[in-house]
Amino acid sequence: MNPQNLSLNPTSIRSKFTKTFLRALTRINNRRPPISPSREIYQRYRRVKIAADASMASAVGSRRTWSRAILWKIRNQRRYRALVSRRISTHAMTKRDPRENYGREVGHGSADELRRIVPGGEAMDFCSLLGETAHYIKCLNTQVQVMRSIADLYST
Amino acid sequence: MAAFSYQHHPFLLDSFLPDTPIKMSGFLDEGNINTTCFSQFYPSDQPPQGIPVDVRIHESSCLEHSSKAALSDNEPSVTKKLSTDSSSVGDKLESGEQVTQKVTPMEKKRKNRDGSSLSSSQSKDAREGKGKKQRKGNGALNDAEEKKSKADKKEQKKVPEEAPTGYIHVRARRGQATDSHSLAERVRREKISERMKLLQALVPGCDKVTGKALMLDEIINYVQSLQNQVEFLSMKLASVNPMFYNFGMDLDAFMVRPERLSSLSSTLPSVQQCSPTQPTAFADATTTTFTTATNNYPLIETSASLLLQQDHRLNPFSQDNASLLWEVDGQRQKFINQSGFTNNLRSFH
Repeated sequence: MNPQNLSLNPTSIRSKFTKTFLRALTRINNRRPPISPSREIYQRYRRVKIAADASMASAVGSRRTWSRAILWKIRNQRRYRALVSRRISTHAMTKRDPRENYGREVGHGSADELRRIVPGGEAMDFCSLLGETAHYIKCLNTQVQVMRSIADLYST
Repeated sequence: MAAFSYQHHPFLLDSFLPDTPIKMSGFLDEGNINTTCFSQFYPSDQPPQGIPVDVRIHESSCLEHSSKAALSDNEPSVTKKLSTDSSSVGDKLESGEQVTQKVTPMEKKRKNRDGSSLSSSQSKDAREGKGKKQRKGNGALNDAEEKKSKADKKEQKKVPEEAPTGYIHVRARRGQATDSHSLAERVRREKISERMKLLQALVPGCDKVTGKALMLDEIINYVQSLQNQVEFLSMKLASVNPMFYNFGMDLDAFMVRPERLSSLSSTLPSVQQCSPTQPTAFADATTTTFTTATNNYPLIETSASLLLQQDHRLNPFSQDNASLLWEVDGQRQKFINQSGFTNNLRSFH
């Protein structure tokens, strides 16, 4: 049990994420449970999800577009929610009209889908979208691994 | 000017090595300009970079360039352009790893141009004109005809020598467009395919499909599955935690915990990899009851590192001898059961 090899790389994204996420979990646990138990689980879930996203993004830092987008989204969430709902309602009506004219070389449908999935991908050109996606996939993998190990730890 | 133009044009790599001694001597004849170039280049270049070979090559190439530029002192705009170029390259070069990545587009572009100039312009005149256009920036034009011919020779030599360096280079074939827009488009496409390859390595099952659209679909599916996994896990964590919250209410149960744990871990050395993660997890819950925020951090740090370590340790275990892992797991289970149930009883009656 020598502490040297415990944290293999303290500045790695994985360990940073783990630290911040555990801290956030403790903070979530600190909260008094609300009165209605049916809402409680959902609220907890929302909080854990947001905590996971935020700690991932802050572990990555602001040098990536997707992490910046996540942090921004979380920071002004209420405004963002209103904005998104408005945008969705307008999008639903005028779907597929403006995008088709751009003529992306790869099928625009899938590229746009990727753009929607990767946070902050709406404003990227295709090339940097791919790079961001690669980094995002790596970080999601890390997130899933760490969260799974935490969940295993808690549930066993 | 000599200071910043060092390591300029790293894309002129190997082809200059054989050339340089001749050229150096040739330039040395011309006067003191070159000697100053030498004196400024060699001392500044040799120590810092971790890639001595490259540095040498760059050195030589830029030596050649700078001397040329020095010769063309009658064109101040040219030297300015050179300086901006080279300073940006130098900035990039300072951050070791990024060098190759950052520089390659330039290299490719340059190669494209060369290739296109070579292949598209069949006649010698046309190439001469192209070479003139390229070399005009260096001011070699107004010096002598022989220099121009030298430049052309260089270009001829460059293309075959740089071909096997591992870069995919786009070169305009017959009938392909050679204007800057389509060249840039080609470079962009090449970058995209490079990143696609990167993604292909990341996404499992992506190497079997062909075609960008299918690959994109695969990538999208993978990202979505990962995001769903995160959601599922956070759901799991959210549903699991309230139990721990209740556990945490019982204080004296946790007071008993440490010695029990230490006895366990001392008697069972094989459990040691797994069991210490347990108490810290419990300790997290206990600290929630104590609500001393300052206590949280070291505990969390240790638990985080332990988590990481557990992750790393478990892998060899599962590969080497699964039975030992099972044994450890079983003991862990026992340990949790006996402790967890007492907690349950205590907190619920």
